Amino acid sequence: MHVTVYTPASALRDPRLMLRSMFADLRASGELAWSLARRDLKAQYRQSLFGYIWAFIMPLTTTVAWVYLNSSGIVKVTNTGMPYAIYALTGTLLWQMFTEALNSPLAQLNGAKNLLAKLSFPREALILSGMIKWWFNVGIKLLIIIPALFLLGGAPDWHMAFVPLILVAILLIGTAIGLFIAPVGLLYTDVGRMIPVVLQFAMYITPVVFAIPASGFAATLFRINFMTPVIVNGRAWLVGSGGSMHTELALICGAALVLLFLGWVLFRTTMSVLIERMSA
Amino acid sequence: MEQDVLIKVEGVSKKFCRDLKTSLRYGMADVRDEVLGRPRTLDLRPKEFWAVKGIDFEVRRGECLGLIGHNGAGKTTLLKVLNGLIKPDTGRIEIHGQVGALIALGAGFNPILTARENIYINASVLGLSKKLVDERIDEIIAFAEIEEFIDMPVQHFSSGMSVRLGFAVAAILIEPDILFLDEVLAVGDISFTIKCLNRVRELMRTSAVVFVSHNMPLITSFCTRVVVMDHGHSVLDTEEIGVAVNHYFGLAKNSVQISGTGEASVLDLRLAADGGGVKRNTHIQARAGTCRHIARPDRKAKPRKSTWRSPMPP
Repeated sequence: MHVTVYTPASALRDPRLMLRSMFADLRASGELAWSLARRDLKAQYRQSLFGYIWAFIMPLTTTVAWVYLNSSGIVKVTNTGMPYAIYALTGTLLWQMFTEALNSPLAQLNGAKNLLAKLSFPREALILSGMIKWWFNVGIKLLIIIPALFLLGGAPDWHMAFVPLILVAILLIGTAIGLFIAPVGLLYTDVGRMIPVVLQFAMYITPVVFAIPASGFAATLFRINFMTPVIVNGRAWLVGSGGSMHTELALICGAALVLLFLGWVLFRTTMSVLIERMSA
Repeated sequence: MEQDVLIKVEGVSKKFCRDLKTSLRYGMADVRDEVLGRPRTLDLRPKEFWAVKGIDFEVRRGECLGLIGHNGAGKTTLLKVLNGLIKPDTGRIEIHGQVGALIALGAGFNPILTARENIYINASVLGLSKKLVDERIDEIIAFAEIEEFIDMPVQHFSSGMSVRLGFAVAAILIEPDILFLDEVLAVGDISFTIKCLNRVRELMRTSAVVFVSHNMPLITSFCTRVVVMDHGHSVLDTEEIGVAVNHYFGLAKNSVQISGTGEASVLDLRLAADGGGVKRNTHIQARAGTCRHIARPDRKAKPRKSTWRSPMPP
């Protein structure tokens, strides 16, 4: 018979047991994660006439705006190596994917406070269900963006096959950071308020809508920014070129994997402490 | 096998904080200690108090332990610690086997979705597979008595109906070794309540149960042992349920006011032979929490089943 022991000691005191229960819980949370993701997606769109069409509206308006700006000649930024509309559109959508992945863990936990405080279930399911919802939104964005690239005069080619890699990288990095933020964010709402502010600044030192400056202090900021290689390569592969900074990208992905695992450990060890302080 | 100790609780304590800002600060400190693998601070920090203090008990399969005490005595907190939601500050808990909890009925329900969809969601939150629900969904719907509303959004359910649905999902699907119950039996109308009680009694036969309730007739009828809690402490731990209930009533600050007919539920009646007599067909009335000494009963007078005047069946 399965025996569970609860003591005040930190779970980290017995790493082997902890690892075993981490992976057992991860396996056990698959079905729950799907179920919760389906619930949220269904509920999000059911109480509306247009239903799932709304999921397309946001990325579509962004795209249409850039197509219009491009055709009307209002924006003329030339040092990007491609039509500026394509540059900005791909950048914005990739950046949106990143911020959504980063916000997901905290949003998921906040949304499930009531469940967390009352029932015991594998907590990993909440994070996984956030990831499933993320893929759903990303899928819709890609459905819009890829035809739009042709419309804007781009020429996507076989490099597109690498795009899933960059998506996984974005999800990994975003979730890893999100997991580190979540424990403090659950206690203090300051964290939730701070995230958009910080991300806003971060966007200006990432080649999202601006090109990387050639020199100066700003150039240094762009270079040390870990999101730069991700956005640069994601955009390159979407528009049909090879990209650059591949070593950096690989290193960042490796670091993100390690960080994700550490974030997971942090999440598990702190969850019961946080639930006790949470208002539900 | 029937006599296995399934729940073993040794010296379990839990402290809470009175002030929100301080509580959050302590929360951060606890997170830090947890991550560094440091032991927790055992002393009370300023503004803290013991919500649960030094609780010990064991529950075997087939036994039902009742936790009674006034609001805020620490019953639910203790249940949360037992359920693994929060960690004990001292002590040790051993749980053998599958845990089922009839707590927070209808957890995860989304009001916009239909009852049918919500059954699946609720079941998966309770850790039960879609396959199991597929097999038993008709049984759940029949138990909740909501056949004609099964594809209606739960937001249009009356509160009684949605609680019934929540109870049905959990009660039909779980097959626990250990069962936690927190004030969930008095749901719905009288006929549904009886159905719930029957189902719980079935579950109790094969599991070790911890039962939190303020309903003394239920405590008396279900429990094999009762722990009375007061300000986090266990003040009485006994197999004599009546004594425990008496003690609990003794803790009440307000004197008992009886409304209605003036008759009260007899929770415990002991007969003692010391002078005087009782004849056949004599009706004895006892007020809750009082002790009646009935002397030298007539040999032919067999005590008959007592009548419960409370709204709950025993």
